[in-house]
Amino acid sequence: MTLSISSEEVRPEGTFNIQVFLDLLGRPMIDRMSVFLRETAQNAWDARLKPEGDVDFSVEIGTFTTARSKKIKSEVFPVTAYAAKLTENIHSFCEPGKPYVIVRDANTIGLAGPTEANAPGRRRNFTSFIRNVGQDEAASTASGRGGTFGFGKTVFFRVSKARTFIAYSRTEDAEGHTVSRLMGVSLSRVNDTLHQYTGRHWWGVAPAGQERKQGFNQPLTGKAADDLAEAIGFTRYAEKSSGTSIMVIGPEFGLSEEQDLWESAEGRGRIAQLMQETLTFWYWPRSMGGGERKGRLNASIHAEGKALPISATEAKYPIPVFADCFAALQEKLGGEDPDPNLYVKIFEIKGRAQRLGLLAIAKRAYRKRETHAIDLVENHPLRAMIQAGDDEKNGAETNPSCHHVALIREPGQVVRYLPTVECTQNGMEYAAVFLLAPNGKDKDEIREHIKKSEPPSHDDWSKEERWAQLIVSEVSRCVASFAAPPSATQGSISDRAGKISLLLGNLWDSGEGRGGGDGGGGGGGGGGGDGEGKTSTCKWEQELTLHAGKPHILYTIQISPKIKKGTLRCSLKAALYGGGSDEIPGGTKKSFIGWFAKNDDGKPGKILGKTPTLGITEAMSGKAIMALAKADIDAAIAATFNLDRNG
Amino acid sequence: MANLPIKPYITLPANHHLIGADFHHGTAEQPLSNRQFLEGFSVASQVEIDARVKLGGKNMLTEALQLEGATLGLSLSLHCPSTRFRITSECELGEARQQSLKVVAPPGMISKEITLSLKLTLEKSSPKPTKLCAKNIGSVLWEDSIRIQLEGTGATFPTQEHEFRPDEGGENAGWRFDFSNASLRGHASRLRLLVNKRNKNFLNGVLENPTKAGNSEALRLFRYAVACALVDFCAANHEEFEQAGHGFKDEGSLGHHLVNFLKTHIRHGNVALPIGSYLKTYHTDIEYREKIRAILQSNIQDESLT
Repeated sequence: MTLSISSEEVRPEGTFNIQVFLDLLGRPMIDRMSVFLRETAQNAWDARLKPEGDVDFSVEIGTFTTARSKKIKSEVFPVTAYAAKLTENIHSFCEPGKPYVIVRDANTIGLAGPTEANAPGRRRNFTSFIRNVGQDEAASTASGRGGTFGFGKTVFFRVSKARTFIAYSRTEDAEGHTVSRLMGVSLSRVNDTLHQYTGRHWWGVAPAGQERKQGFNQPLTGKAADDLAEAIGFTRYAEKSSGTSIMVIGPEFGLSEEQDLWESAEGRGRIAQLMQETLTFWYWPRSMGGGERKGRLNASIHAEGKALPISATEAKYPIPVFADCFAALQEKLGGEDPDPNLYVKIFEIKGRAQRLGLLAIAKRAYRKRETHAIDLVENHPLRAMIQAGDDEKNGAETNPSCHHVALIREPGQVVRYLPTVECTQNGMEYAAVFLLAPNGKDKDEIREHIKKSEPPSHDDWSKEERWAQLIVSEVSRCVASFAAPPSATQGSISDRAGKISLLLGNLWDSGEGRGGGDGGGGGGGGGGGDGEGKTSTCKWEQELTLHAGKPHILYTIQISPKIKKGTLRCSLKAALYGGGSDEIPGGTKKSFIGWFAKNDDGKPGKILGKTPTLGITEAMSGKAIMALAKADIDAAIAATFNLDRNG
Repeated sequence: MANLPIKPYITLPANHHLIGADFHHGTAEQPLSNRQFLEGFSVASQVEIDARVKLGGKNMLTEALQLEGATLGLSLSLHCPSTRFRITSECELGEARQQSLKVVAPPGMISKEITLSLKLTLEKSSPKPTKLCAKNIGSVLWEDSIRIQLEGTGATFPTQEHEFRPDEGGENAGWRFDFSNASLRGHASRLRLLVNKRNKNFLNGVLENPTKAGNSEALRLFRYAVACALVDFCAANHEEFEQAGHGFKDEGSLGHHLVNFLKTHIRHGNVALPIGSYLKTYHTDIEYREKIRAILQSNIQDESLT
């Protein structure tokens, strides 16, 4: 199926300059790569199917093969006489070996609703993204949440040298039927007859019987759309899934020597690394499920056959310290005890007699940084935090220093890393997280005010807005007292041996601030239970008891009502002094006695199995199961219970 | 909270009403709590920790533990994971309702973080043991521990001021290593960098203004010289490095730190050279040694000082 171009014609009354469209995001303080990834991830998150569900988000860097190049040039962007120059320009970015970027989301609404901007429909994602300029308030109101594509969609044009992208989506049409859609969009005045066309062009299917110029075209739909999408490089959506994939033609992110990077596999690998770092910098809170721990953005970057995950805990320093702070805030908001292994302090930030949010700060010994790809970006907004710089005054190098507060509100994106005072203690640095979480009568008003104080690129809180001003001022005051406590400044370090020690410390030490524990250590359990993962660790209780006149340990494991089948596995180990664990003599099998149903009196009842593996049936769902093990070794016993839902 | 390992005998939980402890630091008796920062710490600081244990009565304790007639003891230990320094103080549990224990970490022995662990242990078994009571001497019956982060110019590199005698170079000497107590499997603090107290130019002039252009070059040279001395020490112990294979696994051991150092500084780009083989050649071939030093210069040059 070959698509055809439809171009918006200039009306006698005149039109807008397409540059206005490109400038809708304003002039963000952050780099183009950051803006692109923030906006696309935000679009995906806003378009999630369920308010508390996960969203899969990926960015793929690829290059056109000869076959795909031929296909895309002949079937998506065929040469049309009146737009020959435009087509020729696009084709130059689709030659074999030329790069493209595909942004893909799944478990999202997709480009749903009617395909014509003036047609009625509850969901209007298609028209908001493909046809309209700016936020579609009607769509926002009707669907109850985002996914409505405001100015953020302009990033696709901003990062495309061809000012062109192709959208492929599995979604619902205006009548609620599942449909696949594919359409190309260009924003370019590379044309022969400038005065006739506005610069907005759509590559789609002309309605039957309609000639070009008489109206507009529609997206390619159904199997033809899936087939064409797959043939040019998209990954086909599975039968029951939904989402949107956007292919950017001729990507360009304003990097140093970018052209060279795109031309080699190694260079594309570096761009992928930069994407991974950038997305992690801004979206690590959502990868942790946000403040409410409901819904994760499962993101990854793909290039040259490698998948690079977005993970807060596995990210390069200092992101894991921010993640520690955020984990402490999640526990606080969930009413749980903070993890005793984290050096994190939590403060309530108040203003006008109510809580505005929570601030968590973690102080660490200075740690040498790993190599980052951000040197590809001039004046990267996070350079001071992660890369050495030059002290112009003294002509000496300065170490990167983390003295920043990550400002976060509900969507789980870092709005900005606010630089505050540096730590007065030599050899120390800190990371802090402020999460907007008002709880007073004005909480909704405060949230709305803060949201509106953000520019279109959502990368700052305006100092003109009173609540934002109050928050920033209170956070800065609180952080300053933590980073430079009076006791520390009064007794500042002046000993000479200390200075030398510090100077030489990073010769052999990465400076990590978290050491191993002492005493009992080891142990297991805790987490999960109800998540979407295939294997999870169960929660249980344990007690020392007598059985047949000898000491035994009785475990009580609660099976979640959501679990209808699976396999429960028990592992018993000897806890080692100083942490860690070791196999017990004879292994788990030798010490394990059996699984039991729990009687009403809280004691073990009917035996369910005698091996450390138990098949879970629907009858056990929502009930407690007991396990009994011998306590016949000298060491403490560390148990783990894992549930495999596929078992 | 994660489930802790369970012992095969009766123990008391950390928050049991019959026993509890407060930790204090130094002569100022600054109370310490878990995850607290100990401010103003320096490589020259001596850290004194005092634990005050409040008890509900010895008989009540032994009854709760089913250890009638047994002898119990208290132990307070300070452990520093990054230097592997550990010191313990012990006492027998008497009739008093409050008992104190103190541990002292001498200057330069600890860095970054310490764990303080207070334990109630079995010193002598009960003459009438029950089936669930602890029977082995040393069994831990109750435990409380806190972790403290040391804030300041912690002992990231074991350095000590020392008055150089005339036969050590007198007042013009700057520094030297003391390797006499160092062993690769022992803790890093047993290695000492001695800086000459009598050399005022180095200590007062250069260190006071480390970022000043001239001084920063002097310090860079100093770092390089220290690094050379470390490589020399490693080469002198090359057999032990070879035996250790992929490295010394114990975090905090001198060997662990030195493997870190060699991997970071003896490398081409991102690729570290195989430690065992080059240390052996470095030891015997003067030309090769010079090449390694040039590589070291190149990598040291890349690092910032402040």
